[in-house]
Amino acid sequence: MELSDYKILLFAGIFSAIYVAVFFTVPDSANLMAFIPEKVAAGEWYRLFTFPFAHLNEWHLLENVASLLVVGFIATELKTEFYDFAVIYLAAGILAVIPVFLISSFSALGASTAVYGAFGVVTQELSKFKISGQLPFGIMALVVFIKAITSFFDCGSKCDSFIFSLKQAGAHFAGLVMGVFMFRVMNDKTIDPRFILRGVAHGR
Amino acid sequence: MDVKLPERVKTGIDGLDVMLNGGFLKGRNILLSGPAGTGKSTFAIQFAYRGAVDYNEPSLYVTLEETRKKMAEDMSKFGFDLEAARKKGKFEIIGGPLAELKLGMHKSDASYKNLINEICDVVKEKKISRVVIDSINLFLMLTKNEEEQRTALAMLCNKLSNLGCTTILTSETKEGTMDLSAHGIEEFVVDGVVVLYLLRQGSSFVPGIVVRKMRGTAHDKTIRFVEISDKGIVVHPDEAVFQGL
Repeated sequence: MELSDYKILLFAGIFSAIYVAVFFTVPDSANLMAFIPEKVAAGEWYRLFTFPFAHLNEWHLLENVASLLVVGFIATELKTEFYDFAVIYLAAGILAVIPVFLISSFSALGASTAVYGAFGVVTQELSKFKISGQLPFGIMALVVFIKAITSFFDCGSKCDSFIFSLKQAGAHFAGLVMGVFMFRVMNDKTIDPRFILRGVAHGR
Repeated sequence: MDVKLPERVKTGIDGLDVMLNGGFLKGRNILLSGPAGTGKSTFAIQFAYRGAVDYNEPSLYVTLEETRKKMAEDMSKFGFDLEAARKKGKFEIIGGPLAELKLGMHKSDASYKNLINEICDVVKEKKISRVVIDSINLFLMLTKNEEEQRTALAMLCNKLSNLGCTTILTSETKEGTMDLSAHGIEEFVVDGVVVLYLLRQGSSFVPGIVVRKMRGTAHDKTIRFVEISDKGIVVHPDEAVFQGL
């Protein structure tokens, strides 16, 4: 592999470094940058774009940085197009909070919706190995909801832990779905079987 | 019944027409085999390019390995201006790296039959007379099993012959063997076999060429000296190559 083949990993590394830098250098970053529906409605639109860069605590930061690097490694291994990965990572996380915003007044913070968007990409990239995207998508969806499911069995449907986990899972699931959706839209290159050789020659 | 042999086409390879008593028979399929580094692709491009430029026979080059850009760069050292010929509508290159073709086939749920049909479509559209498939080994990798390989090969050769195309199918063979093809079936389907060698003579290797098979015509059966000059492949039909023991 050439150096240019590691662009996704470099991208993930740079964003991880930014998250760490924001966490340790911007005072009260969680309050300043979080997606808080009331504040967004009151005109603080910038929060739509700043919330992925702020994290609640070290553990939250570590989870997201580690997940981003893992999904970056997987996407690199799957030879995902850098453009696909970067655009979806940047957009899916932000777009995913919109349905959450419309459904509930849940505040969002951290890069996890974007990371799940990237996981949505890699679930679809497995089609390169003739693996249907549905199976990995199903597994990822189970991972997303597992905490909410265990909370439900621990304390029932009305406890705070379950409700919080469910809302969090909803946002993560929206990120995953947005990643899959965007990838499919961006890769809707229906190739006419009568133009395969010509398509490759002309750099389709 | 009055049977007439087809007319001959100049190969575009200096000296080879002498070995073939005037050139390839029009509309026939010729397997061009040899190990790596013997000049198969140069030979094949020269056949197509000079056919298009010197003999006004529009040519189609189907690559399953190189990009069009890289081919144009590599061939410019022989003075072959592939892009200029392409812009004049005389020379067409289609295809590209095998992985990209496989991805395209996967995305469109296509099979080798689609590729053969596409080649035939281009032949009809551009009124192509000469076709090169580089390489037939890679083309046959697009099939699923041995049975499909035979079917694909026969289908490709028959369709191109029926369209009146003189076709070269390049085939990479293993170094140091006398094999004529990679799968051992190609030489039985085609009309002719031309083999390029690198033969050891003392401490050096000497490039050679032999016409192993050519249906419908007498031909020289001696291994002749071949040279890759700055103008492309040149065959020396009077110089035999002797392999050292």
